[in-house]
Amino acid sequence: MGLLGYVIRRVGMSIPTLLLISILVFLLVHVMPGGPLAMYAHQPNITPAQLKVIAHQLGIDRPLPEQYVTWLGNMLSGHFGYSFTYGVRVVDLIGERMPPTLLLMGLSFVIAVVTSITIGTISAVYHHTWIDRLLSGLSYVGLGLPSFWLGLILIEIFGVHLGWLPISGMGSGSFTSVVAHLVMPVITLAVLFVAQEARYVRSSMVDVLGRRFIVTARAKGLTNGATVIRHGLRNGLIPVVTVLAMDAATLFGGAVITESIFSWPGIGRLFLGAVLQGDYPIMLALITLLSGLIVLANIAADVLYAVIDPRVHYA
Amino acid sequence: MSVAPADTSPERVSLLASHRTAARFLKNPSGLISGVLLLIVIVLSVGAPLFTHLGPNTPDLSALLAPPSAAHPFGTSPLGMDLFSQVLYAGRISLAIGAISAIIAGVIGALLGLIAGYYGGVVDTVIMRLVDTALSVPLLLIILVLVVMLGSSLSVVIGLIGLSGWMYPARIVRSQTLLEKELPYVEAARAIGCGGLTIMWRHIFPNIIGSLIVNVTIFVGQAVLMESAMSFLGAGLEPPNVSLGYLLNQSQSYLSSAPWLSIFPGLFIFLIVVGTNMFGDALRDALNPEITG
Repeated sequence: MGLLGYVIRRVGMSIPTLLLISILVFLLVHVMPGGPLAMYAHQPNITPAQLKVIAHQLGIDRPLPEQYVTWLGNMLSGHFGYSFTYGVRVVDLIGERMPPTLLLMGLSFVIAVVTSITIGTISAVYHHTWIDRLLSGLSYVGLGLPSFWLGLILIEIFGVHLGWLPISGMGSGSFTSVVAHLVMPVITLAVLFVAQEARYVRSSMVDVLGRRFIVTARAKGLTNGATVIRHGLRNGLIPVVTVLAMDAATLFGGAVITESIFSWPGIGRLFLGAVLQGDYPIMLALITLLSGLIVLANIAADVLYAVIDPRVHYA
Repeated sequence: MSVAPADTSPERVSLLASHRTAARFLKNPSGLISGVLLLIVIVLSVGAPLFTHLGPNTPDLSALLAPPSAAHPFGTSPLGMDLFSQVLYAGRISLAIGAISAIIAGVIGALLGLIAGYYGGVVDTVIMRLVDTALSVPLLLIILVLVVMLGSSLSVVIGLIGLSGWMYPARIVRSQTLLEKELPYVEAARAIGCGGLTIMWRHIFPNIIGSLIVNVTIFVGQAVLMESAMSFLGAGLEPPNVSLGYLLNQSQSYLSSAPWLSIFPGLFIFLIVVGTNMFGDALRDALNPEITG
C-alpha cells in the first residue's frame, strides 16, 4: 500500500509542473511570427478573407484560455497537427523517428551509467592516489570536449583515415551493420554524460567509504572487493540514481547534436530540420512530448529511490 | 613600548578570510593550473590586437587554406584569413557570451533563491515549482526554437543562454538562505529594525556569495559550450559576430583537407570549459576547507 500511495502522490505532484510546461509551449505557439496561422499564411494564393475563415474554423478567434483548453485536449489525445514541410501527420513522423533515437539514447545511457559507476568507484577506492588523479583529470577532459567536436574528430580518424567505421546513417538493417553504425554516435553521446556522472559517483562513494559501517565490514574480515560492492555501492549509489535520471534529460539535447553529425535518422535530426525550416507543429509536438518524458523519468527516479533505500518512508 | 591593538574590524576580518581562501586556492594544484589556463585564454582573447597584427577578416591571398606555419601559426581559412587571429577574436565573442549570460543566470537565480529561501511558504513553493518546470524541459531544443523565432542577434543569444541557467543558482542560494536565516545575526538585524530586503541584501547575501560565484564560474564554460553547439547546428550567431562554434561549423567540409580548421577552435573551447570547471571546483574546495572531495 505504502509504495502505491507514494507513486500516486508523486504523480500528483508533477501535475502542476506538467501544466506549467504546457502553458509555456502554448505561449510559444502564440508568440511565434504569424501565430498558429503561419502555416496558412505561407501559401501563395490565400486571401485575408480566407485566413479569417480558417481562423474561425481553428477556433483562433476565441479567447486564449478557451483555446488553451482545446489545444491541451488535442495534445493529450495525440493530435499534434500536420507538418508544414512533409505534409503528413506529425504523430506519424515522430512514430517513425522515435525508435532509432530510443536505440541510440538507451544504449548510450546504459553504457554511460555502467562506465561512470565503474570509473567513479575506482576513483573513490583509490582516493588521493595517482589513479584517482588520472581519472579525475580524464573526467575534466570529457567535460570540456564539445560533443560535436569529438564526433567530427572520431569521423576523421576512424571513418576517413582508418576506414574502420561507417560515418553516417543507420546501416542496412542487419545486426552487425547497425552495431557498426552505432559505435561512434554512442561514444559521442556518452562521453559528456560519463564525465559528469563519474564525478557524482566518486564524491558519493568517497563519502560512503569513509563511514563507520565500512570500517566494521572490513573489521569482520570482509575482502576489500566485497566491502566496496556490497556495502559501499549499495549505499553510495542511492543519491546517484536521482541525478542520473535528471541528467538523462540532457541526452535529448545531445541527441540533436549527435544525430546531426552522424545523419542518424531519429527525432533529434527531425527536430533540427524542423527548426531550420520553420516547421512549428513538429517543434512544439517534440518539445511537449520530450518534456513529458523527462517528467516521467524524474518520477521513476524518485520511485526507484524509495524502492532501493529502505530508510525512505513514503512521505 | 606599546603594542598596537589587534585590528578586529569586520573589514579586516573578512580581508583575512579572503586571504586565507586565496592561499588555499593557490595551494591546490588544479586551482593554480586552471587559474593560469584561464588567464592565458582571457589575455589572448581580450588583448587579441596585441598578439596578432592581422585582422580576422584580412585575407592573405598568397596562403589559401595553408597549414600552420611561422606566418600563420594556426594556418589559414579557405579564403586566406589567418586562423590564429580568427580564433582569438572568436574567443572574445565566445567568452563575452559566456560571462554575460552567466551573470544574467546568477543574478536571476540569486534573486529568486533569496526570496524563496527568506520568505518561504507559498512564495517558496511557487518559485521552486518554476525551477522544477524549467529543469523538466529540453532546454537546448527550446533555445533553438526561440532563436529561430527571435533571430540570432548577440543579445538574443546571450539572453536565451542566460535564461537557461538560473535554476541551479536559485536552488543553491535558496538552500544557503534557509540555513543562514536561522542564525543569530539575522535575528539581531531584525531586532534593530532592518527590513526583509536589507537583511537579504546586506546581511545574508554577502555570506552566501561564495557558492554562487562557484556556480556562475562553472556556468561560463557551459554557456560557451552551449553557444558553440547552437552555432554548430546553424542556429547561433552569424557574421560579423563570429564565435568559436561558428568557426567549427565552417570547418566541417575541410575535416580531412584542412584539419587545423577544426582542431584549433575546438581546442580553444576545450581550454575555456576545462579551465572554468577546474577553477570553479578549486574555488569550492578553497571556500569550504572542511569538505575535501
